[in-house]
Amino acid sequence: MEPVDVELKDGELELPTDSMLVQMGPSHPAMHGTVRIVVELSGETLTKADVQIGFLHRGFEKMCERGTWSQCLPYVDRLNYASPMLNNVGFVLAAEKLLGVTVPERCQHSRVALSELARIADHMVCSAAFAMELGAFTPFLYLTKARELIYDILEEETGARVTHAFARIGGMAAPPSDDFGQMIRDAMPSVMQLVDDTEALLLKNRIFLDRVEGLGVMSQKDAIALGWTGPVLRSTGVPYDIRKAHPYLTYDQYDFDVPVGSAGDNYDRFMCRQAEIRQSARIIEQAVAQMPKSGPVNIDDPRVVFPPKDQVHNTIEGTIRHFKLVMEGVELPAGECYSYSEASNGELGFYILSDGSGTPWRVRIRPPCFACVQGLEQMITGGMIADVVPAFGSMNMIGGECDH
Amino acid sequence: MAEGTITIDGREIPFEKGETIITAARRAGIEIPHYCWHPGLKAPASCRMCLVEIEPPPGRPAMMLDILAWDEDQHDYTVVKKPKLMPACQMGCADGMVVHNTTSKEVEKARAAVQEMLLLNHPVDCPICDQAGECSLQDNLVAHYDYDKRMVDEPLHKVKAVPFSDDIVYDGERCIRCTRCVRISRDLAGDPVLSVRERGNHSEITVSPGRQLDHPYALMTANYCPVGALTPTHFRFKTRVWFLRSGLTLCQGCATGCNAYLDYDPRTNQPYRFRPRENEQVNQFWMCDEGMLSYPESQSGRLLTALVGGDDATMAEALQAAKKQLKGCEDEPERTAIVLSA
Repeated sequence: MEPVDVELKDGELELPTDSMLVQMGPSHPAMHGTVRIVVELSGETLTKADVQIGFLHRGFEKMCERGTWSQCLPYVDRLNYASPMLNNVGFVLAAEKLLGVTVPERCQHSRVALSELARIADHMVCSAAFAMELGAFTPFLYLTKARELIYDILEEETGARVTHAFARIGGMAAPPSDDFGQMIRDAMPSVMQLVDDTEALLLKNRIFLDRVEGLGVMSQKDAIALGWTGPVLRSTGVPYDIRKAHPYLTYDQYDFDVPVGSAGDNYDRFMCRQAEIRQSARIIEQAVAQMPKSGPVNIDDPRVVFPPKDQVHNTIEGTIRHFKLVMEGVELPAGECYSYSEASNGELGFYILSDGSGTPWRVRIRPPCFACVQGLEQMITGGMIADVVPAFGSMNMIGGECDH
Repeated sequence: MAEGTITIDGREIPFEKGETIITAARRAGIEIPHYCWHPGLKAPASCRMCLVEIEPPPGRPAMMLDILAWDEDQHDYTVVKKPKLMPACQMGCADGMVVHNTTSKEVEKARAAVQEMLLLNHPVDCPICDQAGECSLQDNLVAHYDYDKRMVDEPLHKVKAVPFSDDIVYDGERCIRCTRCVRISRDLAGDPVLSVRERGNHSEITVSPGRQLDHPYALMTANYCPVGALTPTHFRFKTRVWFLRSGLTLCQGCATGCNAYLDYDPRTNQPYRFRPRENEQVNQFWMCDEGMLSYPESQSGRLLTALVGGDDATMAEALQAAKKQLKGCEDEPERTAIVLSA
């Protein structure tokens, strides 16, 4: 080491010009979902970025091959843990596609309403964390409060606040409660008021706008090339939404818009999510209005649907069916299928392969985040290190689904 | 030697002289559901689960029966025609016979009805029944019955947990009176100690007065009971069958070497039972009670140290003893034999 008290003239003082390697994450408050970004810095400018995923890999696909089809549901709950209901519905849609069955209308509306509640909750988590990472703590509290109102409804309906495991192949675990519509009508004004308040706090805030506008830009062409879907793709101006492009459940019966951005920057991604919250609220309103008050929720096939509990406890037929469905599982016909639905982050696809038994032969997920995170390197390279946080935050990477 | 061919659900299969449809189908790998039939026993055709539809020979009319069917429009029962179904376990094969097993609506309806009848008085016992998991009633219910229970009356109650002997326990409520146990006792063991008494719903299996089910093939009756009516005491309530894994083995009880499955718990490697394994040349389908109960010997009582004349010895001593006994054998190697046994 050089002695520090050497007398130096100003001209002789030189800062090192070597680039510096910094590891952001995997355990870093801004790296939600445990991801590591190894960045090469020249001063505060990123000259290189290496996004490393996989820290939350749990072998979910392999675990599915050990149980029955129904036992996959708790696993898929934990893919995108910010909106488990969307994963649940996406998975059972895949199984139902292979079975070749369609659930009754009441169930479809119920699934839509619960899914859209989950979508709102998911978008609010993303926006809340996004704002908080930029130093705005109040919006985080507002949106978390709004999310609690939605979780209250989900808890009332499914019995669990976060991981519900509520969907079933051929129906739902329980029919919608009598108060379902009323609970939603009671809660939604407060939820939307909190969303409005959040925006009022942020959208005229110079600090917030300076850090989101024109930063983390992704071009429309590159977004499509990278396989982006969902709000991040729509923020670049592509109006692709599976609910509109390939309607499933009863989405073709509702009146709603697909909000799109234009610049593909942090601001547009944030605003797309905010706009989608409002569209989801419209869908929910229509879904609960159109949902029949009574009628079957599950399909009429005892080989697929679990018998009601009173039959399980009181009749031998119910006992045997329950036993067989639990021990051996729903037997999906041998074959394969790919089923996709619009999850909160984009196209959530399940490729499932059955050998005709009650146990999956192969379950493969196409997580929307996985494609999105591929674009992160391109978005942050050349920018400032401080801009990594909003760019990453606006992407809403969820480790559970990205890392399978 | 193939005698001819029959067609089952569009698939042509050969049959041998004197074979029934179910036997020919079984050889071809086609499973016709059944309870009372067993390949090693005579067929009483009592359970009616194996009913199949047989097309009439060319130029002959089909045998049709009049039955009463509910007519939704007239809101009354009306007389309709239905082809007469035949039990595949008793119907002999004839060349060119066309059989519908899974492709006939009538067969489907008949099997569902049989299944419904067998379960009319069945208790809700699966959670406490040793047969759960390997029960024909469970398998056939899922495969052949798809409506809910229609009977609302209190089911008939019968005797439960009756000891037929020290080894076998009988449950009258679970019994479907397929009479496999009766035929095993009469035809295999030659000891007609079991019989059916009463009629219809009230019928049940009973042991001859003053007797016990104690012939040397008593455990076969429990092993081949398609439901949980006969359970062996050595296995009763010890484990659940879905915890078990089966290994192929031979019974070491005697020189016959009956082929068997050894069912063991892979978590503890503890053996729980033997089940006979079909081998036409050795034991057909059967095993004697003594052999069936010898499964613990696959784990306990194994010879792990050397013995000389029945006494414990070290390996060096045993080798020394062997050397001593074999002394002189090299002079007459053709007159020397060594028996090694596991």
